[in-house]
Amino acid sequence: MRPFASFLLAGVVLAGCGAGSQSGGQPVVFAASSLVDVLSELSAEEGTPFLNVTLSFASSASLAAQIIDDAPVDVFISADQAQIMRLRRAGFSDTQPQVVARNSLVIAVEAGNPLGLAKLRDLSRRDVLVALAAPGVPLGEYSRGMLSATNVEVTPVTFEADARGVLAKVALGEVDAGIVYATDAASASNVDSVVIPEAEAVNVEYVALDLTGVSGAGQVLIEFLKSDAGRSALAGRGFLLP
Amino acid sequence: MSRQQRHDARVPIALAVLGWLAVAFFAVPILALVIRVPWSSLSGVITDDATTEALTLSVFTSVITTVLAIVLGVPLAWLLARSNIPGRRFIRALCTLSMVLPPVVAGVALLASLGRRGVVGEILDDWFGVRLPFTMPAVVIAQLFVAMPFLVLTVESGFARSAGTVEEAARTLGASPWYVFTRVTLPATQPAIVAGAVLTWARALGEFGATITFAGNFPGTTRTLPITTYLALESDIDDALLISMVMVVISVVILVALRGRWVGAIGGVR
Amino acid sequence: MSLSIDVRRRIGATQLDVQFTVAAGETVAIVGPNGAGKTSLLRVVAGLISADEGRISWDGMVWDDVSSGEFSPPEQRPLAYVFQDYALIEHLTVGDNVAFGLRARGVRRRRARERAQEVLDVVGGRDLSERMPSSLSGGEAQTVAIARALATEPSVMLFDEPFAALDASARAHARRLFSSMRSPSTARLIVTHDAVEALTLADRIVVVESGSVVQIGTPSEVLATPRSHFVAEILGLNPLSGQLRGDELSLGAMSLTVGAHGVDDGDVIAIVRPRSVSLHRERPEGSPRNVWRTTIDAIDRSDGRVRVRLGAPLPIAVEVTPAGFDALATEPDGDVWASVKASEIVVQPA
Repeated sequence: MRPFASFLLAGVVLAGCGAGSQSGGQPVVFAASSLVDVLSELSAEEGTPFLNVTLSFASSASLAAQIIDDAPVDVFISADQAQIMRLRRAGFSDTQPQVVARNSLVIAVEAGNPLGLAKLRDLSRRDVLVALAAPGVPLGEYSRGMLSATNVEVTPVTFEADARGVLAKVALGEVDAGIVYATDAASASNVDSVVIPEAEAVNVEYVALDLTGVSGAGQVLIEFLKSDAGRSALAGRGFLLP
Repeated sequence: MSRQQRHDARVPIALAVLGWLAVAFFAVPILALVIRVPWSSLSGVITDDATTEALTLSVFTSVITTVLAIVLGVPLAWLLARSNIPGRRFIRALCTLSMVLPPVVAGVALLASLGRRGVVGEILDDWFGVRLPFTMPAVVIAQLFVAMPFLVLTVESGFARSAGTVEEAARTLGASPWYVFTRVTLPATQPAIVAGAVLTWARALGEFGATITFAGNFPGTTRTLPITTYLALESDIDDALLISMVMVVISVVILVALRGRWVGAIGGVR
Repeated sequence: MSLSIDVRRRIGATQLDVQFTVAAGETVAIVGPNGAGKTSLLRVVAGLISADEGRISWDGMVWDDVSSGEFSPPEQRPLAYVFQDYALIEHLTVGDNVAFGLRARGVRRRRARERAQEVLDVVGGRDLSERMPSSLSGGEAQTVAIARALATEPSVMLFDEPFAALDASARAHARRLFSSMRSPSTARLIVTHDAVEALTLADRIVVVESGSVVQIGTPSEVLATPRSHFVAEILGLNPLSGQLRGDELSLGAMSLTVGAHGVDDGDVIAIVRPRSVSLHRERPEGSPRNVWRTTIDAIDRSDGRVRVRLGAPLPIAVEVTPAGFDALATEPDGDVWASVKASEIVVQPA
C-alpha cells in the first residue's frame, strides 16, 4: 500500500498548494514542484529566512500564469527558463534571474530493479514499458532532448503530466521504467534510480526571479539559497549545485 | 410578454432573484471563456491532427461508455429498485461510491484491481496475456467507472416510480415477466433512461483524473480531449482555451438537440 | 366448471380466512367495509400475491396449492383483472391496450388488432381505438379496461371496485354493460364496498368483515336473515319485496313508480335509501310522482341525525336533518306526507 499512499499524499499536497497566496505579511514563494521537499523543510526550520514563508508548488507554467494574473508573489523559482523569460518580457521583473539549483535526469525503476536495466539504451527494448513526461512540460522536454541527442528511440506507453505521474506509474509496477529528476526518484519509496552518463549533458536548472523589485525581501530568500546553508540543504535532497 | 402571461406566471421574488443568480453563476465563466478565446486561431487548432485525433477518441470512447452503461446499469437499477435482495442500501452505496471519490483515486483503484500487478489484472496478464492499462479499452473502463453511477441512480428512480398496477395488469393479461419488462416497464421508464444516458455521456466526455491515471496518455490511443486541454495549459494557454471551446461547442450542440426531453425526466416530470 | 377458493393469509393486522366457490356463468360479489381484505383476496386469486395456506383451483386445474407447493403465476391463469384505477398502458393506444393480452400470448398483430376492434365494438367503444389513455374520460377508460379484459376470453374475470370512480351517469351505463357481459362459461368475481351495487349485480354475495366470511347467500337470503353489522346497515337501506311490471312497482299496500332499470317484470327487490325520502307537512306540489300520506311511528335522534320510522302503508326508515324535522312541527302519531323520486329507487331481480 505504500506507493499508493505516497502517491495519494502527494496528490493531496499538490492540490492543496495549488491555490493562491496571501498578500502582505509573510513572503510568498512560488516554486516548481520538484522543490517541494527541500523548501518545505526549510520553511519549518528556525534561523532561516524561509521560516514560515508561504509556499506554493505547481508546474512552472501554471505558476507563471498565476503571476501574470497578478497573484502577489515575492520569489518565483522555475524549472523552465521560458517561463522566466515570459515574465520578464511582460515586465514583472527587471532584476537578473539567478540559478539556485540544478538537477539531473535518472531512470526510475521498481525497487530492486527486477529487469536489471542499466543503460539508457535498455529503454528501447521491446519488453520494457516506459513512461515519460509529456512534451510541453519541462521534464518532458529535457527527456526528449536527451533521447534525441543520444539517438535512443523510445516509444513510451504513456506521457504523464508531471514527474509525480511518471513516478507513480513506476512505483505501482504499471511500467518498468521512467525518466525523472534525480531528486524525485530519491524521495520516492519503492523506486530505485539508475544513473546514466548521458544525463551529464543535460543541464536542468532552477532559476529564481525576484519579483519584489528593489526592496529586497525576495533577494534575501534567493541569497539564502545560494549561501552555504542553502546549498547544503539542497545537496541533502539530491540537488546539484550551480 | 403579454400582460396575461406576466400575471399568470407569477414567480415569488425570492425564487426569481436566487434563480437568476444561479444562471449568472453558470453563464459568466462560460462567457468569460468565450471572450478570452483567440478566435482567429481557431481554424489552426481545429484542423490540427492532434486535436482531431483527441476529439475523435473522446467522442468514440464516451459513446461506447454510454452504451455499456445502459447495458449494465439498467439491470443494476432494476435490482436496486424492484428486487428483494438484502443489503440493497449497501449495494447502492458501493455502486455509486465512484461518484464521490476524487477521480484520481478512482484511477488508482482501477490500477490496483486491473493494472499489471492488480488483483485481477495480474491474472488477466499471466493467463490470457491481456493488459488493460495504456489501451483504449482502459479509457472506456475509467469513464464507465466514474460515469455509470449517474445512469444507475436516475434509472433506479425511474423504475421505482413506474412500479404499480399497470405492470400487474399486464401480467394478468398473460404477459411473462420479461414481456412486461420490455413492453411496459422500459417504455414507461424511457425518459429516465435517456436522462441518465445523457448525464453519463457528459461525465464520460469530460473525464480526466481516472483516465490519465489508469489509461495513461498516448496520442491516438488514450489521449482524450480533456487530457489534451490540461497539457496544453502547461505550454500554451491559448491552445488550451481553443480546445476547451471545442468541447463546449460539442456539448452545447448535443444538449440543445435534446432540449427539454431529458431535463424534465431527471426530476420525474414528463 | 367452477373456481374453488380456499385462502388464508395474513395482511397487515388482518387475518384473511375465506372459503367459497364461483361457478361458470355466475357472478359473485364480495362486499364488506373497507379494510376487510377484499382487494387482497382478489389479488391472491389472481396470483399477484400468494396464500399462506389453502388452495385455489379452476375447473380442476390447481392455481395455488400451498401444501404441495404448486403455484401458477398470473400470466398462466386463464383470468382477467379489471383494476380500480384501470391500469391502462399509457404509451399504447386504446386499440393496442385492448390487443395487449392477445399479443402477449403470441397472436399475430393484425389478428390481434381485428379482435380488439371487435371487442371495442361490443362494449360500445368503437371510436376509441386510436385515442391515447391519458385523453380518456373516467367512463371511457373503464370501458377500455373491460374491453381489454374481455379480449383474451378469460374463464375467470376479477373486478376491483370497477364503478367507484365514476360519476352517476357513467356508473349507470357501466352497470348495464356489466350485466350484459354475463356469459355461461365465465365466472365473475366483483369486489365492492357498495352494498346496493352488490345486491343489484350479483347472483350471490359473500360478506367479508375483518378478513372472515360472515355470510354467503343470494341477495334475498342475505337481506332476509342478516348476520352482520354490515348487512344490518344494508337493511337500513329499506329493501322491499314487490312485483315489477314495466315501471310500476307494487308493494302490497301501495305502488311506486320507478325510473329506468333494465330489469324484467316479476319479483324484485327494491332499495329506497332513507335519505332519498322527503317529508312534508302538506301534500307537496311539483315533480315527485311518488307521494303518499303516512304516520310517524318512531323517532330516533342521535349522532346529529334524525331517523324516523314511518307507519302504514309503507313502513320504511327515513333520515332527515334536525332542522328539517323541526320545521315539520308534527306530533308523534301525527300525519305527514312522504315523497321519493322515481329515479332514486333501485330495483333488482329477487
